[in-house]
Amino acid sequence: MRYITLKTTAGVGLSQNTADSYSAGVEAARGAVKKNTGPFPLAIVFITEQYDEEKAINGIRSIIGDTPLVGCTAPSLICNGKIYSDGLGVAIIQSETLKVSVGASDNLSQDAKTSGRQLGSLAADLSAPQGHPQHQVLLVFADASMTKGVLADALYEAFRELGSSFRFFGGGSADNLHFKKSVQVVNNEVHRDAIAGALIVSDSPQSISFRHGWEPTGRNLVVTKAEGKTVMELDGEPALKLYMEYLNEDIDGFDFSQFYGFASGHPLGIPMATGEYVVRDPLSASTGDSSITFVSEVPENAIVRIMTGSKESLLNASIEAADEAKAALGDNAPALILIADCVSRLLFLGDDAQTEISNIGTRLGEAVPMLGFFSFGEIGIEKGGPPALYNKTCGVYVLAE
Amino acid sequence: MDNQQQLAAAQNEILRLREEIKLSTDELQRTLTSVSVLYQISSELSDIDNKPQAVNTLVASICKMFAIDVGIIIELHEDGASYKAVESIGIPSADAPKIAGPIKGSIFEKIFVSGKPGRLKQPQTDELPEVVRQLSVQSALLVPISPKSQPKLLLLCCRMYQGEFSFEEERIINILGNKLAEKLDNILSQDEVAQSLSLVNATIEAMSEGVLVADSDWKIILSNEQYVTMWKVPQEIMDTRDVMKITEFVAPQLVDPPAFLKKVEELRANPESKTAEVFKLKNGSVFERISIPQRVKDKTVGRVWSFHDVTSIKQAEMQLETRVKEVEEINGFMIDRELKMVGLKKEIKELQERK
Repeated sequence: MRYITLKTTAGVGLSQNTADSYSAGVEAARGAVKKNTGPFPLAIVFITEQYDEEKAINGIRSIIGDTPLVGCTAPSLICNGKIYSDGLGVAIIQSETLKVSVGASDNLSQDAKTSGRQLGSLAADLSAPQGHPQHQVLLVFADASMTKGVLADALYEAFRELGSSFRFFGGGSADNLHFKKSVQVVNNEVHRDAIAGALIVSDSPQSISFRHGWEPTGRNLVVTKAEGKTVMELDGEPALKLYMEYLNEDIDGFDFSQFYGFASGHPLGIPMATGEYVVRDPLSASTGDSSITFVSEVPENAIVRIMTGSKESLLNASIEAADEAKAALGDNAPALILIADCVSRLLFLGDDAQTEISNIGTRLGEAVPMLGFFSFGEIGIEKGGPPALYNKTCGVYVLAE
Repeated sequence: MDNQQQLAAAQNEILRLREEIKLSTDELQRTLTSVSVLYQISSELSDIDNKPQAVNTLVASICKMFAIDVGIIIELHEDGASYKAVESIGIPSADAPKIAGPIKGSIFEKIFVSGKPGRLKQPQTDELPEVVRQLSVQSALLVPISPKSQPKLLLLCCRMYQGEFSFEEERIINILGNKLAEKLDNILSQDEVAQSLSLVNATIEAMSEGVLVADSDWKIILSNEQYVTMWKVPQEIMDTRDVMKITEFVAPQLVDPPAFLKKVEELRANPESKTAEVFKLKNGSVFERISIPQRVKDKTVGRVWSFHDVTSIKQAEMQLETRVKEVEEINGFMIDRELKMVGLKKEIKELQERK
């Protein structure tokens, strides 16, 4: 008798029933499972802020049983090529060969290094030998709402634990910029101030690509004083003063309640030796000490440049990300697309954010199940080296059939 | 050449110049990026004061900036026969101790002997340590860190995706390797630090002065028994390591406590100031206090006080002053006497003249 291994497939379901979180969970999970019978090695969930996460999880689990579940809250989510500002999206993977381990580590803000090491130890649960990184990916969803810049430390420790045979993909969880809700989900548990992950070991390739579309402009600036996410000085001058002068803005007459909207078009870029720039998104400004706080950490002594971008350059970047992710699959067909797209791109692109998501679907196949979230910082190892914490970037993950 | 040919030639020349300008812009951009990376990593290194952290920082920064999947620092054993990894990034932490072996015939032998960087394209499976071989390495770069000093180190960088290392990358990583070597030469090892500290402590304890050293927050980081004895400070107050608490305890022993406290406050307000003062104690003792800022690399990081019991010196000075006064008085008396004699002689002479 010969057994045929079924190819890896996936389904994505959505509910916009904000009145009943349990029913929403049921509806989204049912939409993802459809008539498939499994085995289901992993389910992924993204939830906007309107829901009671515990009730929603109970609803999902009533359909998927004890299938490992991982996910987080998000300002908006992406389901099958469309953006939803309120909703609950579930992706479920059906595979006979995929190996998965999920887990979370709390106290991220207090002891980021231990949290990272614990997340990295997820690999110990999998008996897979050291393999090719295109077959071993850690999906990461971390609380990015804290003002302390600790996430980079946690990711680095996770990487040290796992080694280079794993790629990272994910993003920071948050709410709709109210900074009140940032939840990470693992199985039946709802975590806060945590880093959650799912380690996926596959026979088929998994591809990852990040692109942002921002270009450097003007001269180099040295970060002469910074702590975590806050930059106090640039070129030895008060950071905010120099930044506003550079952009020809009158600091005294400026309405700083509108700072995020203004600065979202003028992020900082940190050059890498590879010639690429890691972008840092200015989040808030303090006129008191003339500092600027960013979405992610900015290292002291970094040489940075102010970046510029257009809707066109951003849209082209997401197309490149999709094309590159597809190319990395070789002849394998995509089974599931996950997207971690920066929430600031949603704000910057406006209605064109939908074009960005549609473009990715078109490039990778409109029929391919797609789930994603607008993230507060994007996490990934794209081309090599330790995991990077991106801002204002579009990340695409594809699991092959 | 007709007009059309001239036009075509001119257009070709314009295209060529455009390409040249683009190339030089790209070159300039690459140079700027290299300078940025060098600056950032060198700055990170400059803030470090221990060897393992310096090694870790360099490897982590290089891996991050150059998108390198595996970075390992290999140390040659003192006997020159074997090697081991002293830092590794990109290898699972559980596997890192397995990177060790005999140097003879290994990929590292040539680098340690030549002291020059080397690059490997598509490394053969038997060239790299087993735990690295498992990672499907596409290219490797080996850079000596400290070819002229001990311990001998080299940096192994491996890429699984990004392809070969460019000459520019090799050049920059080599410069950074040299920076690490300089840094390691300038950092004392833990044994050397312990030895230096022991020497400092023994020296300070042997001093006749009472010594107190505080950090920038005015927390005591060093003191000697002589200080405690001079000021009779109870251990529980010393244990607080709080300069102000200790000052409050010693002030009542002085003849003029407010003046003493005022001086302390002045020092606190002026971290850069240097002072030398003498204080009288109620028990008759006299202490001299010298206070200077503690500086590390042109940065004030605290303050050092030394207290010298100058009671006997002051007493000797006072005795000397008394003797001087006595001599002056005798001298004055003698001069008085001479003047009186001169006066009397004058009077006698006048009387004789009248006669």
